Amino acid sequence: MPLQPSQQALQKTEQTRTALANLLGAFTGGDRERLAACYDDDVDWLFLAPASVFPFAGKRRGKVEVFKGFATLFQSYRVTEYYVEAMLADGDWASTYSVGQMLQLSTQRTIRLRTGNFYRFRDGKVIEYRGFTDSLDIVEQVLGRELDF
Amino acid sequence: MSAHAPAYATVMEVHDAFRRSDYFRMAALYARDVEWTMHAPESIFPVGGRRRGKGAVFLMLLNIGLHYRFDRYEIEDVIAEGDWAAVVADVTITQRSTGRIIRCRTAGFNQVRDGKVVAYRGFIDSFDAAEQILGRTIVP
Repeated sequence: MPLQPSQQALQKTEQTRTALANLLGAFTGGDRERLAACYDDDVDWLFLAPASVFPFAGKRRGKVEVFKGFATLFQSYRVTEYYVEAMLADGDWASTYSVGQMLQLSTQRTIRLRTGNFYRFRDGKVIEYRGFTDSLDIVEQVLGRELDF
Repeated sequence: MSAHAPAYATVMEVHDAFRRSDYFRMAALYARDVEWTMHAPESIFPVGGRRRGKGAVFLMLLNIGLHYRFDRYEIEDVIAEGDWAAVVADVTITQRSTGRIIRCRTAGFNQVRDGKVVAYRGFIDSFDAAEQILGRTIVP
């Protein structure tokens, strides 16, 4: 029998859900100013993919570094589709299982990806992020060819 | 993390059974027609791709056991709400044929109904894991 959550825990979960919805709205709407306001200045950020192919990937510390990464992403790609199949909020943590498409501007190729995203919030801002994807598949899509092992 | 969501208890029991290699207990926690996907290329990862049904999932787990030994499986975070639970784990395995040690983080999204996992979506950093499995750098 699951334990009953306290009112305080429920409130925190609702705050987290609201903060995540705001972040996702800013991301999908391309509102970089609003998106920047969703991140803590000292955010600990990690997207698990090779930085040699994706300059925005890897480990970044601080909002300035994260948004330098986003800038390189948006220089090369345009997000054409992004929707969340599952969204979970639990205390100060939230997670999404998402499906997206990006247009590679240099080749006009469409890159399809699924991501698993884990966010930790404090005072409505992201203080920690971990992102997962099938990085090998994405590298092959970006290069437009299968890698030779 | 939350112990309040109905999915939490089931998923924690699955992980406990997995860590103890108690596959009979684990099998009882999966729905007969479970829909299982690991977002990684099947050509390199025996765990990769889509599977439908408990039989196919456990055949795959048996196949992994033939090729790899699990040395460490530590849950870092669990996020649970309603019938979903997402888990991040730090995993270390040894490739039996080469003795290579592969260390990676996994993320799994589990959907639970009536105390059984009905859907699973998993991720690893497949590029990094492939380099570790092959024992060399992949030059794109």
